[in-house]
Amino acid sequence: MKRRRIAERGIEGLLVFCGALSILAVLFITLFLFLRGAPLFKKVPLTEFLFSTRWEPTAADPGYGILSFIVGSLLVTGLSLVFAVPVGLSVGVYLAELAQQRFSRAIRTAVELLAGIPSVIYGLFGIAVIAGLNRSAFGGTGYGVLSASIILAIMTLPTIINVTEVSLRAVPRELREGSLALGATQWQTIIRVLVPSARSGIAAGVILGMGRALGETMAVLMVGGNAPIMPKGLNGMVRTLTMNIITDMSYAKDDHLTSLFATGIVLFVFILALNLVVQIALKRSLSGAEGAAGA
Amino acid sequence: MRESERGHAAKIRQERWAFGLIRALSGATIIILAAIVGFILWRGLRYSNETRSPYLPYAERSPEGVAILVNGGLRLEELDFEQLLGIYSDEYINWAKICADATDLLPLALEPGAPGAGSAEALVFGQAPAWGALVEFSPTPEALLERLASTPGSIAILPEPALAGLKPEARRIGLRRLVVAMNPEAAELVNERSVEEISLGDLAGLLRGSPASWAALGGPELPVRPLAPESRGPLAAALEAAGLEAPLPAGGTPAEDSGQDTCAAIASTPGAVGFAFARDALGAGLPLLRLRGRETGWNLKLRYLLEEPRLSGRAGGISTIILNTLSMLLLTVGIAGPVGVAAAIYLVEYARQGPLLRLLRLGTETLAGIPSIIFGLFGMLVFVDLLGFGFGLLSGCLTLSLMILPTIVRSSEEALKTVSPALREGSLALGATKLQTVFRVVVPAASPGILTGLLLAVGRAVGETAALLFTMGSDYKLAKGLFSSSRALSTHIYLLFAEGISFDRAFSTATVLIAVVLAFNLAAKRLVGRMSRNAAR
Amino acid sequence: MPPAVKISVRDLDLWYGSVQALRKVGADIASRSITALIGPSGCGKSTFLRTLNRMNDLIEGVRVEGVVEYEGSSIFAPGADVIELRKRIGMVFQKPNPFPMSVYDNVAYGPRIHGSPSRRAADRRALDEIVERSLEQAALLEEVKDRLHKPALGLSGGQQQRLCIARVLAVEPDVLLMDEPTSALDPISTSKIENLLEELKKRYTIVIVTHNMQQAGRVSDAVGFFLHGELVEYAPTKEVFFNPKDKRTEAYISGRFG
Repeated sequence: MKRRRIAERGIEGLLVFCGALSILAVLFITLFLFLRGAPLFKKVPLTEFLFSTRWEPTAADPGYGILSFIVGSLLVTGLSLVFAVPVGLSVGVYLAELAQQRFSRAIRTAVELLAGIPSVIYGLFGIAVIAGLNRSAFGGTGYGVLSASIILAIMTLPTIINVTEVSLRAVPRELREGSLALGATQWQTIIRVLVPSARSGIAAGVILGMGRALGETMAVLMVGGNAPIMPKGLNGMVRTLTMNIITDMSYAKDDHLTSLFATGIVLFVFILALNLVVQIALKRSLSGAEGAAGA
Repeated sequence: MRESERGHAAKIRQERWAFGLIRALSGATIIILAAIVGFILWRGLRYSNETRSPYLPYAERSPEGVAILVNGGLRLEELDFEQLLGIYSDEYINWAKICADATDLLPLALEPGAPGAGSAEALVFGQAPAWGALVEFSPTPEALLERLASTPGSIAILPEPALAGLKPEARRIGLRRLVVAMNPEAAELVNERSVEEISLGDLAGLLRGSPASWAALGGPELPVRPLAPESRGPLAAALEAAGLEAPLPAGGTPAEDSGQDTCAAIASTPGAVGFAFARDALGAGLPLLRLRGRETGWNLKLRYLLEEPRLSGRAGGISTIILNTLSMLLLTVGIAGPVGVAAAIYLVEYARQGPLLRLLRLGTETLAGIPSIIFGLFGMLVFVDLLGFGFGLLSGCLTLSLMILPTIVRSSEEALKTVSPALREGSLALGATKLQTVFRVVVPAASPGILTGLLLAVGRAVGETAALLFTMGSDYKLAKGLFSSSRALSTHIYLLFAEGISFDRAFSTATVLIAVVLAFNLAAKRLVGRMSRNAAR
Repeated sequence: MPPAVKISVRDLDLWYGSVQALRKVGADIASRSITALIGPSGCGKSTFLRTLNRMNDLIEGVRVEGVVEYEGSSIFAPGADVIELRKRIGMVFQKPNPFPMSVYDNVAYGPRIHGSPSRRAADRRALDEIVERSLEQAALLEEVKDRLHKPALGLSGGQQQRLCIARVLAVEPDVLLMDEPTSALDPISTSKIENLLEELKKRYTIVIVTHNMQQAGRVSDAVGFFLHGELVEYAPTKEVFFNPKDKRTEAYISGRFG
């Protein structure tokens, strides 16, 4: 009996460890990334690293400025949201409020499968189709900000759709009925009551999608053009933070390698900040929904 | 009342537009999915490439009375002239750059001076023979054929008459050597552009003198002068055999005798253009017009799935890569599955509401949001370097396990939460301990949900690339152990593209990958469907 | 003089899928009066109420037969305008359901969706007046006039319910349907709303569903008693309470079941 007790304790201890593994992993990732990347700032001032556009890590007088890549990441991510948010919101509204059974099941399946397609396949599709269309429409190489944003928009669509649908469904039925009973049409109810009520949740979805886009590597690597310069306009070639890490990783040494980890730190900080905002927004959206239910 | 009623009708009509738009956008998701999957499948199964080659797509079976034979094991149907020339002048040492075969190359020929050897020599080199050092000479056709049959990857050229009465155990292949040569003046640069290529369809027109000036093709202001070989020479015979319509001597100087004379005529006539043998045109230094065509065929063959890759994937198939991917998935699920389910059990069954639980949840959420490239960096730092596992299966799988952990934890949590408390109480009431209750009652009851989560996680892991590149390595041989560098399907796709090896092969591999991913996702969906049906009962 | 009939219901049957929720209900609802609907839970009184402004349309699988006429024309007629109907027949729900926006925007919601989207100063002033008047009528203006632009969710439950009433009044309806409007409120808020009903009766026709027999007795002019989807008895309040014709009504009122 006693031995069994001890065995149970042991197993329970193991469960605790597994439960804590995620947070431990996050802590270790943070720790190692900083340990490996931060030494760069002893040689290169942080301000120069962040605000210089001179990226010549292999030159005799090496330059480690990643401003172009920060701008590239933000530009590509922002533009992808410009494409993805209107579509994602519309589809989310459709699934939550308007859908007929069969059509909505087909759409839901499509969204789930889109979420499952590997990024390297998005990349191939981007090279062969998106960049090609882009080239014939706007000239140039076809590789650049625009193509990367379109691919990213498709990739972030499922996240935005899902979160929009879930937060719209969380809006209490009473609000919908209250609006309809005042003689509002379905459209007015959606636009003026439901979407505003679900806005924190929808914002969380958009930010979640933003995080996805910011962290995406393979697809943008394949269609972005990867020129280590400030992007020249919407059709100019672009290198993002993620691309910068993966491109040089295979041959970088010494300070150059450290600078790649430092790039990782910058990306990581961006992502953590976005995650924090999402957590706050989701909490707000849940408490908002409860508050709206009244009583 | 009347007026406002009409107002409502108009309002509702307007809103119908809005709803229509939303419906259309929703439908667009299906179209996007269909476009991506359809394109990858179509492109992976069939290839349809634009070809740019100076050679006309006609292969001669016996050019100038010479037979070209290859060892029966070689998968090759035809060569073009420059390939043949390269083979006999040491430019190639194996077949990889010519066909999908990586065997070593052995060029065979009759000894110079042997009866009939001259015609083969003339076919390849014209007047100035320059045999490569790798060429192996045989004194007699019999010896030559013997050597050919016994050496894989060998190729031989010998005159037709020498073949008479012999039954070679080798395959005869065709030679493409017809090109369109142009007068150098017509190929001059104009505004940094020059006439370089033409589609096969436009070629017939050009040889009939339309357009009348090279300027229409981006060249200099020079009249187009199509030249024809005389009707008796070997060039005329080759053209006739190919069914090509030789240009009429429309005001141009008619060429005479053999192909070489035609080339000379083209070289000396401003604006001239005409068919020629590659040997003569190259010999005369004439610019060749490149011909745009399109070739299509099957891309993904069963052979591709079953053969080992060779030469960085240039040749062979992807069998070892599929097996490596499989072992990667098994190992990853073997690591992440138990850990993830255990974590979910702790979170649902043991942890009390409070700051600790919130912290653990925050950990899962944060981990889920970390981009794969960061996981790759971490894996490289810790598993590859610090723990010394090196680039290999184990490092890659540990990294992947961390990546898919949140997916497994969250779906298992959901599954465990749906198990009714009555079941737990029933078990506890029978005197079972909490642990027994969890493992014998709760987990089995939640297993379909847990399995669904595992399938989805595997679907995510199989497509991962960025995290694997710097942890699992990229050796395309079969992984021999936990520490051996190995390449997964997704990495293979990327490397085929990034190393510029083959777009067609990248798409074939992508077809396999997308089939695997869709299978996992649809299986998960199936399982969910069955679960909700059971729940409804 | 018999009061004018506002809503006339005859032979109304209603099914949720295969379950019949209303059976041959017939009633004439008088103009500018308060009609209380009572009965045990699940008896069909709320369903009946929701039929009057076609809120049941929103529920899948609902089928209706029979006649409901509002001011002499059928509300189910093929060309009938649901939106106009709901504008004329307003509804207050059991749980207060203010929208997650400011007090002002809640009340202005109706006029805004029914009016033109113009932002001219004159229109803004007109809207201010409507909001003020509606809050006044709902006896809420005094309590909220300093926080018109604060979130409505910050109000107490009773204030929220009166805000919902004000929100309906701002659309200038003709009939008010109230589905147990005080069941989620404390006694003080309840009495405030009951007093309000007395005031509103002068201008509106009110139909109120209530579980509270005393409330029905206090505020209503006529009472309808529902049981198992049937309108068992429908008569002036005094008659129903002191001289019920049906045994089942008597049993319910004296508290023997329900």
